[in-house]
Formats: sequence, structure tokens, C-alpha cells
Amino acid sequence: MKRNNKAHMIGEFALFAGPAVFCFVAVVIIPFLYGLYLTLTTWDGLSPTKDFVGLANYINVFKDTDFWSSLGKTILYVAISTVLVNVVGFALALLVTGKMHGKNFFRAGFFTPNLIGGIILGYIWQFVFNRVMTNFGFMSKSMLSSYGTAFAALVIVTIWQYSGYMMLIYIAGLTGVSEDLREAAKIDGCTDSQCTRFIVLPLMRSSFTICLFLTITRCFMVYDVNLSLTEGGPGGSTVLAAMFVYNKAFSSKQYGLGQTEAVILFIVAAIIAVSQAAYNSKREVEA
Amino acid sequence: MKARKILSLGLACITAAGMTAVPAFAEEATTEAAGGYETEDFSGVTIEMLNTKSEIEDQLEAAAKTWGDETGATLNVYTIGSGSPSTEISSRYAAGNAPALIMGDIQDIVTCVKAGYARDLSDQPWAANGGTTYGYSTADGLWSFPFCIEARGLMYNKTAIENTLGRDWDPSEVTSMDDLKSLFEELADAGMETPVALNMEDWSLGGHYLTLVYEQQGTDLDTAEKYIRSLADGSEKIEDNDRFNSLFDTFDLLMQYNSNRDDPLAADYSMNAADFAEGDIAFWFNGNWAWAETSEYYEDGTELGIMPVPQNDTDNNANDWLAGSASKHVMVDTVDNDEQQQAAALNFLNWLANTDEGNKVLVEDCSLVPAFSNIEADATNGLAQSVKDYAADGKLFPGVIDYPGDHWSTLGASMQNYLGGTIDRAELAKEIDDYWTSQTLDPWED
Repeated sequence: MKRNNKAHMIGEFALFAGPAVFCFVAVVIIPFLYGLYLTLTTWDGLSPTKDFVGLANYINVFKDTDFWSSLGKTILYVAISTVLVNVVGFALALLVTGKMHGKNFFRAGFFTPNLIGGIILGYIWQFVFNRVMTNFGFMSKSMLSSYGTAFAALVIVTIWQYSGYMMLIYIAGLTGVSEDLREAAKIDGCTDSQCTRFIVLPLMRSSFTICLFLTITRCFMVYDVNLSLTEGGPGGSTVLAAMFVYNKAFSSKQYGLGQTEAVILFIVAAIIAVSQAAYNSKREVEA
Repeated sequence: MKARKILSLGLACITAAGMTAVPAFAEEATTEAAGGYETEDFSGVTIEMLNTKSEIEDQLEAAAKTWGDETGATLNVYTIGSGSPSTEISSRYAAGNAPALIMGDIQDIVTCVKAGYARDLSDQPWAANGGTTYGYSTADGLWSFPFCIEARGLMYNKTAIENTLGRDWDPSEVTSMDDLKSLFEELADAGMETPVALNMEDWSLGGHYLTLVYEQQGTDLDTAEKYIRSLADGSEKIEDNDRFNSLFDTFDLLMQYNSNRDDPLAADYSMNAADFAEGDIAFWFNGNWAWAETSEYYEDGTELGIMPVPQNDTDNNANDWLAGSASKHVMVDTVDNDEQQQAAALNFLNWLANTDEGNKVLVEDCSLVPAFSNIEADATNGLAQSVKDYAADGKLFPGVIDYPGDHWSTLGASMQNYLGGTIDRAELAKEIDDYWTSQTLDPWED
């Protein structure tokens, strides 16, 4: 009877989850494993032969100081962007859930940048930095023509792009906090800011977990804005990790090495994002 | 969440997915009779062409239709607007449906030939009319159809110069950097303070200006390639090279009179094109492909042309020759296309090179400079006409084929730093030396 039961369960699983599992294996697991295999070769991306070289690519990556400096810049970029995107996103959420006119208009307005593709967004801002800011006398030189300011420009555009999206998640979190609790806090003598700090924030920690996770993973993989806004310039100073990997694989035709760097980027991003999520979700509070 | 994370990696390696072993190299094709073009019947044959020159998409599709009506074949033109040809070619081969006709940069063709994907074209009627000279050929055969010739140099707006100076002017007046300097001073005195535009793009600085140093070591490809190898093995240092110093003396002069000099790294390509076409500036370091952007602002009657970058070191015809070669090459695939499809593909190339209709497509419709000596029609614009004249006299420095793939981007970044003033010439030279000594090049074979 038990045996039969098990066969039945497997059959049911195959019937309902089978198609999804098949798709997942075909488009995620197999390419992932194949990608890992490619890191062990010196494939150039085109030739029919793939020379197996074992772990040589990994050793070469560790010797490639350009890659590590690019990864370092990326981590810096992620750190700054994550903090600012979430601060701005949360502030906007507080603003549009408070007492103001035209809330819906502002919500839609702040969210719109997220609907514009990264490539187009990059070109728009390139025009703003190069032409508008300089012609209207905000600054004498374009922000994109020296390293520090070009990096800042990337961060500014990222904030503009993502804070609206994060705002949306924070709005959901804020409205999810029951009015009763706020009222009770008020009766106990909380001011508005104390109420936010000690009542609302702890209760919407899960929103922060999600937003931080999304911002971290997206910023690590940034490519489109990087490409269209700075093209890695000036002088190759803003080549972030994803662009570095792409160039290595496709411009330098060192696909194996590029793939290895992609794996390392993945591991670094995954460790940071997952440990953040694990740390934060432990501290979530139930109302 | 986990799925999303894995998915992002999945996307990174998705191009690799589905890579299958490629069938063995198809056997050699039968030889066709050399000569002109003959209409053949290819009813029911469908082939595809990868077009990587997006500005001629419409014209090429029209040509494909005309040719298709004559031969009964169907030619689908697939155009990629941005991104590198090599990515597209790799993924098409990976997917096992490579187009019959593949247009790419020379490096793409070299990679495909090394992989054994390309068909030998040395038996084609157009091979003798310039095909072998400008196409990619090795000891084993000719592998590409040179689609067009492009050359770079100092582009001039003759009308703007004459209007500013109030006298006749001819590019032959400028035979050295000193001449150029006095011309710039004259123009500045007459009100055009910054008469020249420099692009900030790495391909322009690293791929087009810096490479003049290698190409002008001699007048042929061998000298250039040998020079690169001597940089790579450290036996030569670029800062000791006369050509390098001569070219960068001129570059310093161009920087001094650069219309973007207040913020050279914020230069905008379209603005440069507009300024040049409208005569706000007189010179622009670029090549005849810039006609696509220039023509948008061009007024009929303005005389444009291209001249070599004037230098004080005049050895090796440096002031008399442009730097140029076939910029787009078309190869015929042998792996994913059968004999009949290959024959149709060859027929289309032959039609372009050897019929009046095909010639019109190249010269008039697409405003290109064809590589074939049998095509005599005048070019449709001054920039292309300059290139055609220099090519007809054999006055072109050929481009080096086997630059490492990251050459223009890496050293283009160094050139940007030089243009922006963050490094000086000695530091630039050191970065170039370091770049080359870190490369491993195929050994030179005589």
C-alpha cells in the first residue's frame, strides 16, 4: 500500500510540477552547468573546439588586477546606490502616504522612470549631463568627463531609476501597518516621528528585506545604464563588473575567462544578497 | 527570490546554451567559370544575409528584392543596429543557423576562417578586380567580399574655410604640421577660433588615431605587423619612435584648436557632425562613414573632402596617403547552408560587383566606395569621392588585421585620459608599451 502511495505521489508530482521543472532545468540548470563547464576551457566564443584547461582560468582571474579593481568599483557603487535608493524610496513613500494633494499623481510620477528602459534612460541623462547642465550654467564641465563625477552621475541615475520602484514596495509596507497600532502609540504619547521610528519601521522590516535584496542584485548586474551613460569612460574608469565581463568574453574573445569572471561576480553578489536577506528576515517582527 | 537570482546568472550564460558540435567543414565547392555575371535560376532557394551596416538597411532590402525577382530566390536581410557583429555571429553559429552571407568586421571574418566556417572565394569573377587586394586573403584562399572601402583622415569643409578666409583654399596647400598650424592661426584670426573637432569615442581615438602610428611605420602591412611584434617583445619602445612623436605633435595641435577643448571628453558626435557640415568648424578627424551623420545637416554646394593628417615627419608618404581599407567584409557560410544556398549567395555577391544594377546599389543607393576597379561611377558625396580618388591611385595605408580585440577600447581609454589632460605623453607611451608587452601575439611568418 505504501509503495503504491509513493508511485502515486511521484505521478502526481510529474503531472503538475513536471512541465515547470522541465522548463526550469532546460533554461536555467543546464545553461548554468554548461556555463560552469565553459570556465574550464579557453573557448573563444566561436571556434568548434574548446580546449580544456582545468582551473587555469580561475588562477588567471585571481591575477587579473583590472577585474578586481572593476569589481571593487562595483561593490562601492552597489553600497552607495543601495543606501541612497532606499533612503530616497522610503522618503518618497512617507511623502505620498502622508497628507498631501495629488498623491496618486505623484506616485505615478515617481514610478515612471522605472518604466523607461535603461538604455534610453542612459542616453537621456547623458544629454542632461553633457548639454543641459553645462549650457544652463549649473556647472562648467560635464559630470561625465572626469572619473569621480562620472561615477556620481551613475549613482544619481540609478537612484532616479529605482527609487520609484522601491517607493511602491514601501507604500505597500506602510499601508500594511494597522491604524490601531499607530493610534495606540499616539494615545501613549508618541510623536509622529517616534511613531514612525518605533512602531512603523520595525513592523515593515520585510519590505526593507525585499527592497535591499532587489537593489543589491540589480545594481550588481547593472550594464545598460553603464553602457549608454558613460560607456565605461572616461578613460575606462567606470567599467563596472558586468561590462568588464562582457568585454572580456566578446571584445577580447576570451569567452572562457569572461565566463569565469561572471561566475565569480555571481558568487560575490549571491553571498552579499543572501546574507543580507537572511540577517534581516531573522529580525522581522510579527504584529 | 532564489529563482530571480539564478535567472540573472542564467541570462549571463544563456548565449552559451544550446551550443552544439558544429558539423565538419563542407567539402570544397566546384569551381565556377570566371567572367562577368550570368543570371541563374534559384527558384525556391531561400538565403539570409546578416547586415551589420544598419544605415543601409532599406537600400539592401530593396536590392535583395530586385535580385530575388531576377533569380527567383528569396534573400532575407537581417540587420543588427547596435552591438558587435561578433556576438551575433557567435550566437547564430551556436544556434546552428548561420546566415549564408555574413557581413562582419575583418576580425570576425578571421575568426570564422580560423574555425573553418568560410568558403573560399578566390574563383569568383570579382576576385581579380580588387577582391583579392581588399578582401581577406591568406595563402589558402580568398575568404571575403570587400563590401566597401572606408578611409580616415582629417576631413575638411572647403567652403567653410574659403568663406572664413575670404580667399581660395586647397588642401594641397597644407603639406606639414607647420602649414596646418599657420592655417589654424589664420582661421582663428578670421573669427573661427576653434577650427577642428576631435571625437571623444575610444574607437576614434584608440582605433583610428593611435593606429596611424603602426600603419605609417612603412607603407605596407608587413612593416606595420612587424612593428607591433617588436612592441610586444619589448625590443621597441613607442616613445622613441619618430612616427609616434610626429603624430602626437599634430594631435597636440588638434587638441589646442579643438572645438570641444573646454571639456573634450564631453564631445558629442552628432554635434561635431552638425558643426562640420554647417561650417562652424573647418576640420574633423574622422572618415567617410561620417557622411551618414553629416548629410543630415549638409547643404547642397558645400565642398567636403578628406586629407591625410598633416605631420612634420613626411616619411613613408605620411602626408600623401589616407589610412583605409575594406571596412566591412561579407563571407559565405559553408556549415549551415547547402551547396545551392551557397551558389545563390555567390550569385548575389557577383550581381553586386558585376551588374549595373548591383553597382548602382553600392555607389548610389548606399553611398559607399566600392572596392572593385570595374566600377567607375563617381561617388555621391565629397568625402567618398576623396576616398575613391586616393584608392584609385593606390594611396591607402592598409589597416592591421590582427589587433587584439581589446586594443581600441583599452588604449582608447588611455587616449581619452591623454585628451582629457589627466596623463601626459610619456605616461601615454608607457601605457601603450605596457599594453603591448602584456600581449601574446601569433609569431610572425614571412
